[in-house]
Amino acid sequence: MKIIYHCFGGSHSSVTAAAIHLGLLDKTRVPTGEELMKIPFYDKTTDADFGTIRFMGKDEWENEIYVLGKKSMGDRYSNILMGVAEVLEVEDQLIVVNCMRWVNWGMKLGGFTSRRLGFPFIGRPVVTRGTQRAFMQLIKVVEQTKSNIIKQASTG
Amino acid sequence: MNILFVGMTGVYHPFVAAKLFTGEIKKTDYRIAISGLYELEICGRPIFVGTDDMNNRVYVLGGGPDPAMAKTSIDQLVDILGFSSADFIVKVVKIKHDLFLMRLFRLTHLLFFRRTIHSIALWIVKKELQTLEKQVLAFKSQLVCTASEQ
Repeated sequence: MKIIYHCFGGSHSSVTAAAIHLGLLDKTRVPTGEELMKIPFYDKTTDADFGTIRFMGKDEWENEIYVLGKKSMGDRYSNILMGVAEVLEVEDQLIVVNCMRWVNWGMKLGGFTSRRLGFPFIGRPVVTRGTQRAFMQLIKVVEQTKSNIIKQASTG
Repeated sequence: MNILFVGMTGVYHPFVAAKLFTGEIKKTDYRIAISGLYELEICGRPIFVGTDDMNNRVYVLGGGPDPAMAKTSIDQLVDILGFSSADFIVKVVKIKHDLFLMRLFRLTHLLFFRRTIHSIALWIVKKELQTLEKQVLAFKSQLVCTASEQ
């Protein structure tokens, strides 16, 4: 199965959720800024990465985990991707997760300053703090996604 | 093969491009078709338009303000799902006032204006019909070239 986590820039919330899913971050405590910066793609994307589906790794069930930045397209982008999978008749092979709901102001402001304005030395500490604040909610999203995978696998 | 015409909104110029592609534009009153697609366009899923003479299934999609980004994602998704451009191909359709058309479409949730909005949209699309025809022709010849290469 393929799982795509997506958010505005595909740089913070989706990448953190994918890292939680892959077990790259300890779920029992909030990660440090250094640990977040070690995650592949975390606060490292450019404008050219919008729309690009990037591979993050395989989970314990060999599902492929991807991240994607889709600007302000919201849930519509989930529908677009799921719609394409339906046309190809493989909708049971795809789960698309919109992480935007758990993006707080710190992540928005810090992410914008770091990635769009190009001042990571100002934006990075802010976005890191924001990610740490949203961390527990992102764990819930991943757990919900994992239970959806199990459900889908048992019905398939 | 599945062919997807993508624009900022799916129901105006991509729809007409798809109809030009399938060769149905002469026998279809596309004013009626455009009006009926509102609910489908809103949810953001590909809308089935018909099949061409090669039995390819043709769809349209509203890709939002950046249809090129939607194309990038869909092309990659097709690959990730284990398919290729022989199974699913995306064609971005552009005309002069597509941003205006997308904003215009957003107003169609006001039922009262829907008819007027569709008429304005249709007028714009008709003015750009030649541009659309050129894009469809170029796309058709691109498909023929790809098919002969394979």
